[in-house]
Amino acid sequence: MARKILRINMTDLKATYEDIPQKWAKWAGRGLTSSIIADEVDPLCHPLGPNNKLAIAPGWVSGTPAAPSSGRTSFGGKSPLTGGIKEANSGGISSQKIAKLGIAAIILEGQPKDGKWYSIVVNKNGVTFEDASDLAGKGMVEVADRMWQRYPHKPAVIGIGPVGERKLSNAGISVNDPENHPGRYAGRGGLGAVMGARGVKTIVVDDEGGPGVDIADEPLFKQGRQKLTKAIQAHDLTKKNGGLNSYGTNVLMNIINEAGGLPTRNFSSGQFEGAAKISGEMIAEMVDKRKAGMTGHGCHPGCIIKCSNVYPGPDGNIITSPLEYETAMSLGSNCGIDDLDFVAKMTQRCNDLGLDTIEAGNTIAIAMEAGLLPFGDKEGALALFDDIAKGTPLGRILGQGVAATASAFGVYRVPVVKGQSMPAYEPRVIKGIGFTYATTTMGADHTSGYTIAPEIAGVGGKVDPMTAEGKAELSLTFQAATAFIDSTGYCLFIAFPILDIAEGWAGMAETVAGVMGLNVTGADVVPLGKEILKVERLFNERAGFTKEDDRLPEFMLHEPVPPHNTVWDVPNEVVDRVYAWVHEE
Amino acid sequence: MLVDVAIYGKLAHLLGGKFVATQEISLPDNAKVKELYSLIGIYPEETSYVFINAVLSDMPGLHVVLEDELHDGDHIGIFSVGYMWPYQYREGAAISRRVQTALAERGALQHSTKPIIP
Repeated sequence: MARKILRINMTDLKATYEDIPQKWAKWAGRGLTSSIIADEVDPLCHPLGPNNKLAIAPGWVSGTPAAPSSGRTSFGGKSPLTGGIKEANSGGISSQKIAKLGIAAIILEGQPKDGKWYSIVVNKNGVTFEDASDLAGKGMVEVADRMWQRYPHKPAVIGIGPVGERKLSNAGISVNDPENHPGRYAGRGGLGAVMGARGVKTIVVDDEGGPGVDIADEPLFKQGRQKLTKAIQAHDLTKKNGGLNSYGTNVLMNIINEAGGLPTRNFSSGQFEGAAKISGEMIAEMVDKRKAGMTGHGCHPGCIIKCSNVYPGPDGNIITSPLEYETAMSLGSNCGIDDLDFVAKMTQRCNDLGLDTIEAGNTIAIAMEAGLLPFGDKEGALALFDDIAKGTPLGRILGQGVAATASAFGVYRVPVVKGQSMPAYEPRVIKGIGFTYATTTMGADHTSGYTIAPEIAGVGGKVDPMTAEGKAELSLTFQAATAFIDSTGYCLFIAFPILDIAEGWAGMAETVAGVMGLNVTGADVVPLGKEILKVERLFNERAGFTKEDDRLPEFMLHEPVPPHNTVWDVPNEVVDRVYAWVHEE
Repeated sequence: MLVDVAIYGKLAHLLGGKFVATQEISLPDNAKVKELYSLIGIYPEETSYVFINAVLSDMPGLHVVLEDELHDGDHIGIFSVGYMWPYQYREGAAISRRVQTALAERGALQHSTKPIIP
């Protein structure tokens, strides 16, 4: 069965299955969501108004039998946080289920005339619209529980918490994991508010009896799958008991702290004296000591990396899942908080209320800098989530994210690019990431520029880690490769084994070619990725963005950050080289 | 002289920790890292990233830190094998001269103990 576009119009409460137009036929995942938004959304529209849309798409290989670690779902729309195009992708169980129903993308558009909240149920029989008034105001933990009680076959639950209902700019979109924890987020950029503005509280996806995913060239797909699986299982970082499997993404906490690049106390320092206490190693120690929870947890069926964790409290009861590096930075070091149990409790409040953890923690750090509470005040920080839950005026300001909170409280040190706050790598110290923070269309984003194999990028012999020379070109290549991987449905962490093991890279491309029947090889990755970047860049230009928006915040130009005491000193014209090609190619 | 030592991962047991251990260790003046390793009982092949005063001084598979001298008050962070620091998150960070030289020869993008450029 050919893949279809499922268009859901909330104004008329109608769902239609459409053939995929030729212009979108080769795309999936991020390539498809960004193409849909660029083609169908007025770049000048208000993100919360009737003319914005939410596009949801699984990747090329999502839903295929045992493609390893391929459970990413892309969400796209015009971002209320940045004002530009946004793609945020999530783990969890939605990607494979949407794909197995033969759906290439769901386009959510319009707004209900009656102003009610709706649940949309998608299964093999089609789409039903159900009154979700009983779910209004509920957190995602309760919503996910109720959906599994109400519907058979343990469906995917895509949903928004109270923050998304209030249409605040730091609202994420939750996806449940195999145990129905709602902690997988298309977190960044406020797409939860875009979903809320369509009047949709949840989308429930049940793939039982669905047609499954067609594979155009089964032998090629199987050959690629075997190569990729072997590479993932062989690599030091992604194999069983490797770095990611043992300590999760928070394996980076101590490394970045040792390097002096860990954002601390609202980006005023690059080292935190309490880093080890909130690290991945400490999570593993707590799991061991409390004899509860786990490391090596998979966020979706078929993941063989399993970088997730389930974090237990002192009594053995589970506090949250997952507890990741970016979260431990934003709610931990950046707030001066070194108590892992409190970081976990705040993470769970984010997951339940529907907040992006990076933006939420960085926002609390702004409140601390403003003097609302002192750095390190863990009880005070946790209590702020009560304000967000109740929707008090303070809670609504905090729910708008870093930039809005800084404006409300008169703070100058505002670590944002295009309105989105920075993840867990200080760009004055780790300057390569600064290029990507500055130039990506997504706002400051750590997942926009993943490393790929130098022989693919054509940069193998040209990289000198100590000079700015070539860094713009490198950032572009990484951003293009990442846009491609974001379209596959594969987790970005396959980047490590496919970088170091050539067979893995070939295998990844072969699985995509095998499923789609496209003539895709490793050599096509960067050109295809650049096509996606161009679509996104041109959308932002039409929305009013210029190269002057590709800048790191002013304070980073003149405030040295200890311990290295360096500033961001890369000339603007060097940064501008990253996207100089857009109007030339 | 006293050196502040932190060990992360499986080797932490050598200083009495499970996955993280820190300790001030007394060494002869101007002792080299290999002498510290010997005192603690670390084999170089068991290590991956090593930082001295926030400068990256060794990487998986390189083992170039052994001859680096330590000084009173220095901090050294030693990571066991199996750690990752993706290129995109370390590009532009402070790197010792020995690591720079090794990367120039072996390629800067590697993530594992095996060099990707033969």
